[in-house]
Amino acid sequence: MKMGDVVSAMGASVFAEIAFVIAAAGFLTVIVTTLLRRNREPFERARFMPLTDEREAPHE
Amino acid sequence: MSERVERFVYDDAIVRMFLLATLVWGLVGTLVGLVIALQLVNPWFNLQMPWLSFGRLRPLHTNAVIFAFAGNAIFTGVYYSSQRLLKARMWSDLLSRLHFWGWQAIIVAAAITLPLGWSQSKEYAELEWPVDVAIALVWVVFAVNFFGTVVRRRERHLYVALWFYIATLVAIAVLHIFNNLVVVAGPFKSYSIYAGVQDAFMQWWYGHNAVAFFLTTPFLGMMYYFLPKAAERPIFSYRLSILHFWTLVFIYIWAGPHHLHYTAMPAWASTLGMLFSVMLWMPSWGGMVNGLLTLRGAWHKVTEDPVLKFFVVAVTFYGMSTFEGPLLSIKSVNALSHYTDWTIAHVHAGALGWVGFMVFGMMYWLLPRLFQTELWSRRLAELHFWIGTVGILLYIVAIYAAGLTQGLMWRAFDETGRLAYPDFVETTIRLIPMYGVRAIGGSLYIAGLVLCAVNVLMTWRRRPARYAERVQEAPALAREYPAESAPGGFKRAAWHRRWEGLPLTFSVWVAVAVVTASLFEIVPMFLIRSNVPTIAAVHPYTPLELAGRDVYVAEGCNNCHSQMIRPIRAETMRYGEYSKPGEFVYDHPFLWGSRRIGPDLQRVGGKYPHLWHVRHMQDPRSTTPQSIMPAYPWLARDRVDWTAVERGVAAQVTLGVPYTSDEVANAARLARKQAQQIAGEVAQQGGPSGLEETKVVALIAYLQRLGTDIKKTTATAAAGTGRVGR
Repeated sequence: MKMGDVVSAMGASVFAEIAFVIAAAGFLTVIVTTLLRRNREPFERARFMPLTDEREAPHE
Repeated sequence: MSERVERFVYDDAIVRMFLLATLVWGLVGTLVGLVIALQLVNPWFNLQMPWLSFGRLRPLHTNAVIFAFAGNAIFTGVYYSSQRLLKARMWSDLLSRLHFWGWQAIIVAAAITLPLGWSQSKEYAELEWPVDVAIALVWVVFAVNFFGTVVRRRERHLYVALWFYIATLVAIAVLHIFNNLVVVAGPFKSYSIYAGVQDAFMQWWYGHNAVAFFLTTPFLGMMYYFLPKAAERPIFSYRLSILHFWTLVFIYIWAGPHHLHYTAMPAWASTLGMLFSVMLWMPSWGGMVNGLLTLRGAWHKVTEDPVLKFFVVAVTFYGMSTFEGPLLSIKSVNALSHYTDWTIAHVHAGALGWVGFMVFGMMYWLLPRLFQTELWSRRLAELHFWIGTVGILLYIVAIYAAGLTQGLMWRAFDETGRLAYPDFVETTIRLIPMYGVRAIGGSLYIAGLVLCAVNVLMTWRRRPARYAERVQEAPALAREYPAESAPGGFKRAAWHRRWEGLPLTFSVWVAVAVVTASLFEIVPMFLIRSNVPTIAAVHPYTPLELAGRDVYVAEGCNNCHSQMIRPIRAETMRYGEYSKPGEFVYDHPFLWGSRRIGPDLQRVGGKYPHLWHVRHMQDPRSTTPQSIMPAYPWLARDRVDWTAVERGVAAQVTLGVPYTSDEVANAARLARKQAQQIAGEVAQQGGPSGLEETKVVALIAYLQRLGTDIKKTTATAAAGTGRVGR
């Protein structure tokens, strides 16, 4: 028996639907986390990173 | 406890090197594009030279623009911004230089091998296996250097731009390796381990995600870094950027099958690709809105600053392209657009508008900083912007019109229910004026690039005798987020905040998202037998047909001719019975094509006598007066490499193609025998004699076989007994 027989017999066409649910659940988790009020301040800090990324040392 | 402050210097020399390479390869890639654009206006521009024919140069154009121009631009942006966002010099100067010179060597190898016809045929993955191995090695060098810098960083939080870079690093490695798995059949010859439907699926899983993770995510990372820099304003919404990132990572990888609507691809995969593509519209526009709203309160600067002008147009093109992409993925729209210039217009709106203008904006912003002097001419940069914008508009408007025109002509019926334009060439010549306008638009874009080159050169000449090395200082990396951010700050942040501070974990989760989505499409595609129903009458190519197929690949015929008849009335009337998945089970690689500049060839076998093909290759205008196909006179001169035929058959056996033991042992002899038969028939039909050793005979053998298997009677099909079971 080949792998193709096994997978064909197990009705693997539902794999895509299962993956879709997993991906959607993972993505929703990220959305909820991102939108949590308690993350507002750190994200506000992170916004400014490109504007504060160069700090020259004082000349000696 | 007082924090320990460390001093360090950024490596800007490597950024300067990549920036100059970007400019040089940008000129080369677009000039090659102009040459092939002119070849479509008039085939004279092929110059009857094998190395300059459209089929060989088109892959050089796409590879040069994607991997040489955009690739070097990505490395320019990544090396500049990563050092600053991580507050660390690149991990290894040696690896930086190895990366740079290795990548340039790969580009040079591409510039040599593709015109020589050494090609795997898969779009944007044409380079043969030795170059592919080199790409993988150089990519590892880049990854080690990048992640080494991340480890050595002095900033706990990874800014969102770095996430996009990490996604690029991870996803491109996965895509490149798995789409380029081959069996080697010679120093520069290989066959894909996948066949037919599955090879097509893998190719467009790669092809679409090459656009996603090479032409989108790294440029979004650059947008999130350089746009705030240029506008001197923070990004509009950091939360939106996070959603933008994760939505792309979760969704993009699924969308590849939308390139194969109505083909022999199983419908479930096609529908899945369409659904995820439509979903992509939201995050993409979220990103565009985030970019444009970053300019709130700074729009007055756009009128004065060419850098911001380039960025605004780039982000707008990103929005347009990412609206149009989902639109084109809808099956009913795709039925019209597929194989037409509409796709070419879509690609160029993204490449010239989004990628190109992001690169130019970044370049003009970087020039004074990297060369430590004023930009030589702001007015020249302004002129570049306007010439480039007009060039893009001319290009895409003409080619959108060409795409719609051809798509509508292909499916037009007259009042009697017959095709209104049954002769394919009618639909091609109607496009020539639009191709002319495209060439003008492209020329303007290149003229802008030349102005940019002048500006770079003159700015470079004004550089100081010795670049000042500005010493930076930053506290050493704290083990945790800074205490001052609590309460409600970094210390109390949720698990996503932890990820961001743990680059390895973050990269693993990106890889998990990409690989999981891929596997859930790939596994059913490969392992459910009903996806590719076998057809008893379909047998492997004869050794000579296989050699002819190699010629077809080397000449890049698939750049203009599809081998996939969709189950659409206009197509079955024009070309014959629609294509079945089982017809391609021995096609390593698949050759379905993605554009019809010439007609589909799936059922061309037996349509014309051998002599017609000989004359057509010698001079296409002799058989089809209005044809724009290049002439291939060298095919009647160049000889078949019979030892390569033996290696080819042996490689196919390794792939599981059921050649008989006689075919394997006597591949060259059998090929010669068939070649003599075809050459004899050509002479009998009044053609030249003595062609039996030439490539044109092998190509004719292949073309005459195409699409004929399913026409065989049961008795003929049964003649295939004695083959090794597959």
